[in-house]
Amino acid sequence: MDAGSLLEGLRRDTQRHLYRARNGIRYATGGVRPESGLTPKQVVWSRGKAVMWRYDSDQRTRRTPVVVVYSILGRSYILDLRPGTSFVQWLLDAGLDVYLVDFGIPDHVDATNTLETYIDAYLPRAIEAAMEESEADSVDVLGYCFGGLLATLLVAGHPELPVQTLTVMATPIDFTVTEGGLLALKRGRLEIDDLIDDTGNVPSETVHRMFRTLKPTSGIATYAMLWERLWSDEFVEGFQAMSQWAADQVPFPGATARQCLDLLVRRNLLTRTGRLPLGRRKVRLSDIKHPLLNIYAEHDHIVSPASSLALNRLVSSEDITTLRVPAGHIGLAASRSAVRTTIPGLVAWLGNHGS
Amino acid sequence: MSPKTAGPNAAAWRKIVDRFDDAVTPPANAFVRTNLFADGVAALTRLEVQVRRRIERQSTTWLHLFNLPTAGDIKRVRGQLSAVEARLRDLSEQLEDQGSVKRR
Repeated sequence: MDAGSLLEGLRRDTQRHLYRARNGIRYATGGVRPESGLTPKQVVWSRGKAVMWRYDSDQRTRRTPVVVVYSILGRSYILDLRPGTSFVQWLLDAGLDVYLVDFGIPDHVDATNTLETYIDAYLPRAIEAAMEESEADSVDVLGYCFGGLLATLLVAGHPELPVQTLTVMATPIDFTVTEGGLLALKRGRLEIDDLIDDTGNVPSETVHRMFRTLKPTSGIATYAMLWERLWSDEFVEGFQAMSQWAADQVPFPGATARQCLDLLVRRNLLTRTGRLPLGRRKVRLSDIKHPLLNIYAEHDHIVSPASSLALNRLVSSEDITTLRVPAGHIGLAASRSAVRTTIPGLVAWLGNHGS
Repeated sequence: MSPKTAGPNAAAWRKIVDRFDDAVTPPANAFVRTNLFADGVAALTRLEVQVRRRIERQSTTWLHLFNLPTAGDIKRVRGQLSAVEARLRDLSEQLEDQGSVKRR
């Protein structure tokens, strides 16, 4: 090694140590608080706490709008985490007309919300609003995680809606295997009423704890990686954005929680019978004949691949495509794997299915 | 091996952390799938609820003695308010729907 390379190496290491110290202090004192959800958008529909945004774009090339249904659990800005890591922006860059349904932060008024509230009262109206806004005759529906479950039940329970295609991402269908805190609920060691607070909802801290129990030692590798890359401003900002989101849970409406525990977790009705009682009827997954794209994450510790793939054998669609993404539950939509695999696969599939 | 494991050229400390992670994580992940864990979570949750209720019960007597509202009183009133607000929300939405139908 010559003197020049040695000096360069020393300079780089010294600089990294300085950056590491600066970023470490900022991180520890909460000085780094990146903003999320920055992609420009407009509210085009709202009802109760639910809103639907249409994202601004001057490069829409696909006529049929995509309505993204986010989960009731967690904040939807994971799909628009920060510039450069935005699932929504990637879809916009591909020429899609993107809408996102966000169900807001439940409070005491929403404690009596049930699955019917979301599937029968909110989503059909959101779909109609999207078609009116885009002057379109049909929509593509895309649901992520629990949002995928809502999207699936919407399409099955509302055949009158002009849905062209259904895409689900990391969507739980089969609850045969449950882990962590959910196991205590499934086996009857705990009831929902043990968790509900004065607002009638499962508090956000409890929801956060439930997710943490699924991977109790995840902090080890995560913080090791942070320490290793602490010198990188970009890495630290991304890490902080993700950590903020992970800790930013929302309450889970009590009535919905009771319904899900009974029908989905304990009785596993969707897998065992392919039907779910909603309102005064039974929604049948076999009524779904639409082209289906089922995207799952290979290393998903929240929704196992088996749980997601169960949907394929329950619908009557003749056109089913499965897309495996080498990522975790969140990485499916907010990582390099999303850029390399999820987005190209999704865009290509939509391109082959419609206008 | 965890997906976030560092490569072969990683620093020694990182390799130690990864080895520790590889040793601890599989049994930890297996443990959260057991009945023992489920029982533990349930027991802790119930204990938390019992402690809270005991504190509420013991404070009730004293607060009522001085004609002051207890947490239970506030909870009941809040529940009634929530029901009224939820009903109001439902009625507003029904009116909104009827208005939309008439406009068509």
